[in-house]
Amino acid sequence: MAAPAEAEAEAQEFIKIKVVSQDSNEVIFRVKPGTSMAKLKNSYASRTGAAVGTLRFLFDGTRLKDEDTPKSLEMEDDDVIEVYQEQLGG
Amino acid sequence: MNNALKSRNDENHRQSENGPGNTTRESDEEPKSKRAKNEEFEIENETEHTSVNNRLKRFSVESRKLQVDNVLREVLNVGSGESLVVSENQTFIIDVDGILNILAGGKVVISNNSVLEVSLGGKMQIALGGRLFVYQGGHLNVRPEGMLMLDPGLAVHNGLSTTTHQTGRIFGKGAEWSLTPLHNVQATIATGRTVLQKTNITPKASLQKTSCHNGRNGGEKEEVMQESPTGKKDSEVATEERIPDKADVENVRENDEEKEEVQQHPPAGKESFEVVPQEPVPEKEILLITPPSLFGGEKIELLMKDIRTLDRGQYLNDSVMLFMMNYISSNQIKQELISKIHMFNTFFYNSLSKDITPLGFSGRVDKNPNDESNLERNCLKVQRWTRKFDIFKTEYIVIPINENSHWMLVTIINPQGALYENGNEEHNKPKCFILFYDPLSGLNPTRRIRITYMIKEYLKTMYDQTKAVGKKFAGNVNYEFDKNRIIELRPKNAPIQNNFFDCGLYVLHFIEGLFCGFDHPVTVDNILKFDYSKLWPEAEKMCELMRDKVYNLIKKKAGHRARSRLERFEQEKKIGLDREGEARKSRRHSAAPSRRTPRNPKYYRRFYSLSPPAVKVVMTLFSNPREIASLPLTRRVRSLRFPELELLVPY
Repeated sequence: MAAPAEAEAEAQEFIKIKVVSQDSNEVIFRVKPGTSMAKLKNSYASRTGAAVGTLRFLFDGTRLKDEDTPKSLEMEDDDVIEVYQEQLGG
Repeated sequence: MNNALKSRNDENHRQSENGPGNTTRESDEEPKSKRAKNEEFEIENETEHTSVNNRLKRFSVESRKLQVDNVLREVLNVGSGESLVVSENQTFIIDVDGILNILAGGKVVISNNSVLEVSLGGKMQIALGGRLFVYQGGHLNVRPEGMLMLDPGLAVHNGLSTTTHQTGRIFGKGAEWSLTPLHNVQATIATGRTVLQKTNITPKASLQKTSCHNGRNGGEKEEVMQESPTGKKDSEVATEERIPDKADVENVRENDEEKEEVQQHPPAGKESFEVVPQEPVPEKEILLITPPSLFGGEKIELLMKDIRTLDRGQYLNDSVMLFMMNYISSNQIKQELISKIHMFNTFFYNSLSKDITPLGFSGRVDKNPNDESNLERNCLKVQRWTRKFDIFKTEYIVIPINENSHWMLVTIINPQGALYENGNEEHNKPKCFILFYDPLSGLNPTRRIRITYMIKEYLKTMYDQTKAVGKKFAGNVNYEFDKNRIIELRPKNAPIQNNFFDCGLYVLHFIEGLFCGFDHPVTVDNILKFDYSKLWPEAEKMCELMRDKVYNLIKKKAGHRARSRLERFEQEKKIGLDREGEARKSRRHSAAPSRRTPRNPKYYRRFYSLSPPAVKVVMTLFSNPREIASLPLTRRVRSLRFPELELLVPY
C-alpha cells in the first residue's frame, strides 16, 4: 500500500518541462522544483551539442538565469521553455 | 671494490678475463706509466692515431668511437671530437683514483642496458661543452663516495636514469642540466645527494623526491639536493623544483670530503614545490549581473565573452543590448516618463515571428500557407508575456528587433490610439504610430511592411485577449480595434550607419535619443514634425562613441574583482586592442559644456608655438629663416619634407 503512495508523492515532486527550440524540436525534462536552471541548461546543451553560452532560455519572456528554479519561476506542469540562439547583429 | 684496492700489477694480468671476444687488447702498445687498466677498446681502424689522453692511442677516427667496458683506475680524458661508448649490456666502472674527464667536444655514451658506475673514490667530470648521452635503458650509477661533477654547458640527452647511493653525489657548479619531460632521472635521496648548483632545468621537468629507487616508471623525476655553503642545512635534504630564474648562485664547496661529512637526512615524504600556472579566465565566467529591469524584473548575466562583441568591428550581442537598455531605462530616463514606457527584450520579435517564412531578398521564397495560423499562435503565446498589466495603458512600447543579423527598432507610440470607442469617434482622435527605425536606411519598404504587419497583428490579438468586451482590462468602455488607425513612420533624419557592424549601437543611441532629450519626447502631437537631427545634431558621432560608452559602463558596474579578471581575460584573449584604454575613459559621450571663464593663458600657449625640436630643424636647414620664403614654392615644400631627396627643379 505504501509503495503507490510514495510513487504518487514522487510524481508530484517532479515537474514536466518542455524545452522547445527554434526549429520546434521538443525535449521534455522532469525537474524537481528545487533544482537550478543551470543544470537544465547544461543537460540540454550537452544533448544538442551546443555551447551553453550561445543559448538563451526564455520562460514567459524572461531569460532564465542560472540560479533560477522552477519554484521561483512558478512553473507548472507542461510549461514551455523556449530556446533561442544568441543574437548578433551589425 | 676489492679490485680497486688491489695493486695495478694484479689487474694488468686480469685484463683479458673481462673483455668481450671481439675486442683487441691495447695494453702492449700503451706507455708504461699511468694506464687505464682492465680496459678493452674496440678499435676499428688502427692506422689513424688520435689521442684519448695521449695514452689510449688507437681508436676509430671514422666513427670517432671508443668502446670501453671495464674498470677505469686512471685519468682518462675524452677530448674534442672523441667519444667514449659504453657498449650494450656492459658495465663501465670508474674506480678508486679513476677520473673520467669529458672535455669540450667530448662525448660519453651510455648505450642501452649498460651502466656507467662511479664507484668509491671515483670521479667523473664533465667540462664545458662535454656531453653525456644516456640512451633509453642506460644507467648512470653514482656509488657511495663516487662523484659526478658537471660543469657549465652540460647537455644531458635522452632518458637519463641515475642512482646515487649513500654519500655518492652528483653536483655541478653552474651546470646546465636541461631536462625535457622525457627524462627519467631518479636518484636515491636517502643515501645519496645530488647537488646541482646554478642549474638550468626546463620548467616542464618536475623534480620529485623519492625515498627509494623505483626503477624507471616513466615519470619525470629528478632529485636535486641543495647544498648550502655551510654544508649543514636542513634544506640540503629538501627537494626543490627549480626554474631557471630561481637557480642558486651559491658556490659549491670544492672540497669533497667535507661534503661527505654532511649529515644525510632521510626524506619525510613527497615534497614538491610546483609553481602553479595561472589558469586562464574562462569565457563563461560571469562578469556582472544587472539589477532587475523595470520591465518584468529580468536580470541579465553578462559573461566574459560578451565583452568581445564590444570590440570595434564586432557585432553587438543581445546580452549587451539588454544591459544597455536596462541601464538607459533605470538611470537615464526620467522617473515620470519611464512609467509610461514598456520595453520588450530582444527575443520578443523572434518569438512573434517564429515559424513564419523569412524575408526572401529575391522575393522567390514561397510563402508558407501556415503563416497566418502560425502568427496567430505566436501572438497568443507572446500575449502571455504582458499578462500582468494592460499594454494599452502605456504610451510607448519599445521593441528591439534582431533579424538576419541586423538590429532594428520599433517603437509603438500611443497604442491606445488604435482603439476607438463605439459611437464616440470624435473623442479619441490621436492615432497610434509605429516608428520604424533601421540604421541601414530602412528605405526598402519590404522589411518595414513585414514587421509592422506582425506588430499590428500582435496589437489586434492583445485587444482581443485583454481589451475586448468582457475581457480582463476592458473596463466599462466598449472599445473597438481599427487597424487603419495605426500609422507607420520612419524617423526623419535619423542617423544612418556608415559601416556594417555598428547597427546595435545606433539602435541603443536611438532609444536614448528618443527618451533622454532635453525637450519632451516624441508625442502624438509632434510626431509628424519630428526631426531627429534637430534633437541630436551630431548623432553619428555619438553613435560612434556609444561602443566605448557601453564598455566603460560595464567595466564601471562590474565589481572590483570582476574588473581585474576582465583585464586579465582581455590580455589573454587579446581583446580590446583597438581600444584606447585610459584615454578613452575620459572621453565624453556628448560635447563638454563651454567654459564661462577662459583658462589660464599658459594652457593655451602650446597651441600657438612651435615646439622646440621643430624650431631646431628649421634653423639647421636654413641658417636664415627667410631663405624658406625666397625659394620657389615646389622646391620649398620638397626641401622641407625630403631634404635628402632634393632634386633640381626644372625652372
